[in-house]
Amino acid sequence: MKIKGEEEFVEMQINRWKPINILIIEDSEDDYELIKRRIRREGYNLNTMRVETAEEYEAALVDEDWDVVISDNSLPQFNARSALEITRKKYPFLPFIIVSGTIGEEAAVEAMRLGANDYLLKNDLARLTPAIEREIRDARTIKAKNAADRALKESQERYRLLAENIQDLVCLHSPDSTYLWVGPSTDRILGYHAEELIGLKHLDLIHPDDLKDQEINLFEQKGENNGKPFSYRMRRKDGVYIYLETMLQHVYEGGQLIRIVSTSRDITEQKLAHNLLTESEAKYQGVIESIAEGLILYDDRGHIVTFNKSASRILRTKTTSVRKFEKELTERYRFFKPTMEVFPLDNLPSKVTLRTGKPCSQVIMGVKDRGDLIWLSVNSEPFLQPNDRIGVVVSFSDITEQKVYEDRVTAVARELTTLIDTANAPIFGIDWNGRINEWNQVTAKITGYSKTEVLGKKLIDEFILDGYKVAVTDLLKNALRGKEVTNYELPIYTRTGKVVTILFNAAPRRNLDSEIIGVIGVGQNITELIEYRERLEMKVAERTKELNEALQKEKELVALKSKFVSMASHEFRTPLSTITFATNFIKRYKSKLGFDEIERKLDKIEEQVGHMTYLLDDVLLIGKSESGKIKLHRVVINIKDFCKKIIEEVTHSTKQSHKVLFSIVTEKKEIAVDEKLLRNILINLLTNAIKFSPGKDKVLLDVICAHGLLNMQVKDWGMGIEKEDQEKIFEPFHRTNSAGAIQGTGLGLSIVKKAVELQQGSVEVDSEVGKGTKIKIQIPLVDEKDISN
Amino acid sequence: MKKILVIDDTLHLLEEIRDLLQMEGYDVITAYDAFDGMRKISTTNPDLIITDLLMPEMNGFELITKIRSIDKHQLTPIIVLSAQATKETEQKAREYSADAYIRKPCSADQLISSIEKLLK
Repeated sequence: MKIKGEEEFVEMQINRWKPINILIIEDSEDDYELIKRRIRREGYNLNTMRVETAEEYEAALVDEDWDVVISDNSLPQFNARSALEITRKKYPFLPFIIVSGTIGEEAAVEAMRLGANDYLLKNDLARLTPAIEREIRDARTIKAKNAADRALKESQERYRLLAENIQDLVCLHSPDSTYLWVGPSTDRILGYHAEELIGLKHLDLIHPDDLKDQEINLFEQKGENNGKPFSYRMRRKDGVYIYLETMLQHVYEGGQLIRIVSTSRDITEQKLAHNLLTESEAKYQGVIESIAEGLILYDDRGHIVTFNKSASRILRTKTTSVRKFEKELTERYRFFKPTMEVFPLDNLPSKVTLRTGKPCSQVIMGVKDRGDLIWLSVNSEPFLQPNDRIGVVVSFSDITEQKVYEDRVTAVARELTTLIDTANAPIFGIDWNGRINEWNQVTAKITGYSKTEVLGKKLIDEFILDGYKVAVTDLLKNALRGKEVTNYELPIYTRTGKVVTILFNAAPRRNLDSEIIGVIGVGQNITELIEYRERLEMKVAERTKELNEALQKEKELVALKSKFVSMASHEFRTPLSTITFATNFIKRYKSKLGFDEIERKLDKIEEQVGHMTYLLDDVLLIGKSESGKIKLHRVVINIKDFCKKIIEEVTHSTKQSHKVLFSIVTEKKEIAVDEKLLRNILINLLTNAIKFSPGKDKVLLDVICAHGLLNMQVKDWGMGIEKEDQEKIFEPFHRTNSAGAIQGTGLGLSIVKKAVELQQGSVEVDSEVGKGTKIKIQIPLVDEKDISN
Repeated sequence: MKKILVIDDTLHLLEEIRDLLQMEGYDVITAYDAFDGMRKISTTNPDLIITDLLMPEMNGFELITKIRSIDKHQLTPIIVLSAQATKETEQKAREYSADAYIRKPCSADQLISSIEKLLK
């Protein structure tokens, strides 16, 4: 700071009317007034205060900013010397002028020595104003100088503190980098004391590899790059290299480089961290470069930031320039949807993600330049850029091969679907949960349910008959476990409630990974076949039954026949015995016998021969009827006349032992019957009735012919038939216990039964032992006009 | 004169046997069924019995058993005259202790010689 006294003075002259503050130490009011008058006379706007004691003086010093102190030399309670001491302690530069009545040379010298600025006599006050003016001026000069000194000193102090306390190493070099001055941080940063470095060259401590760097030359060049930091490795005293970041300040004097100030900072830690970061970034970059997926990074404005090698490989581009790549991407390629429609550029995953902030995944798109169509699966993800804005990472892979393969598979699948749907056999499928997921046209036709109606429904619940549910569930489970089922007959419900049978083969259905995902059933509608088979089986069973019955009948018949033969032979033996004995008798005693006796024997022989003839006829009749040889031979007869004739015959043959009571009610006189069979029936029944009612005199014959039925009833009042015998009387040769000596062939009722049955009629017995027997015959009649001869 | 009881439910045959045996000099008693026969055995004490097998109420085998249960007739000769032609029936008759089995029809000679043989 430069002080210019002249200017200050001028300013002072001009500011004469400025107030001037003067503190006056004076015990005499008159003297005080005198001094004041003297100064005001000079034109000053005076502001004064008078004090008489040390206390007053000290208080006044503090209260006001005084320009000058004027003091009497000696006061009753105070003196100039004490006042001066007080003043100088606090205000070394406050002008202090002693005004005394008397003063010796010695006191004046002493006062000056103590710091008084001037010494005047009261009778010489003319000097006062110039002295005041001078002292004020001097005091201001000193004050200003002091302030400048202080400011400089403070500034110097601040720089010193700065240089000594800053972490950075501040050094002063000569132009050849020799250390001239070294900051205190050197101990900490370089391990050298400052004095150790002085005289060494900075460049000598730099890592040889880093010396090649351009910035290092700044030490030697008259650099233009002042202020730009650069980093390099520097050898510490212990030999370890540390990273320094240094700023250089070149100091010129007269156009000549004279000094270089360097400020260096230890950035080893940062540098290592940076290296680590660089390394990891390099790794990351390596990963990005080496992965097979194409990657493109977009910034928030949709411009490409970077892309990897796979991206250019997949997109068949050779450029490595981001700008060119972006240009190619927007101009060279055309994009397609899987349907081969043009892919709207606004819907590109990168743009969608950029717009919405949401990721897009698995977008399939075709990309075509002049060459082949490339199919890509594209994902895009938003990411936070270092500027806190959202950018987009787009990753994509070439799925052209898969796409082509998939297209082929799709075509095959479509073909298969068509095949399933149109196959001329019922085909249906279920998923892992048993729900229908396949239902072809034939199945729909057979069941009456359309595909849309059944999809998702449970096959077992909806279509399988209760009795088969468990079995079919097992079967489907087996198929789901990978076991094929063949030729299973599956009855299923149709819409109409009818059951159709499907001959069913079930095979597991697998996905591309060969995992079983369901069952596919291929069938054949065998309902008709089943029905046919069932009919056939039924027929076979029927036939078998018939055959068994026939066989049984045949067996019975054989047994019956053999029994019949044995019984018939037995029946023949008795009359034969009588005949033999009778003839033997005649032969043996013919000489002794009279004619009458011989006649009697011959009659007996004839009678037995006659009986045998009846027997033979009956046997033959039975035999014929049993071998089915008797054919109905209907003729039209007058039933009443016919009956009467039979009654006459029977009455005659039984020697009129009984009267036959006859009643007849008939719609028609003439009916069509088998005359021989009817005759057999009536003769046998009437003869039996008479034979088995010995001692009685009548039997009854009732005939009713109406409603197409011929009802005949023969009744006697004879011995009757035991309950247990009533069923057996129709068996050949069965003779009841009560038959006793009553003659008969034993075939009569057998013949009646056969004769009735041949005419589709029926026989009924109603008998009570001791009371009599009633036998009812019913024969359906045919119209006499229908009979054919 | 030896007494012969003939039991048969066929009356005309019974008459023929009676006529034949009477001419041969036997005392012939006839019965038309087994009960009648049993009655006549106890009343007449026959020396020989001829019986049919197949008769109502009681058959020949039951009859023979009953005859043999009578002390006096344990050894009385019994001839079975039957229309049953089987060997089994003949065997059965012998087991029931019939002394002879003759099948119907037989000749007068056959019957007479059988009687004579048994009454010797």
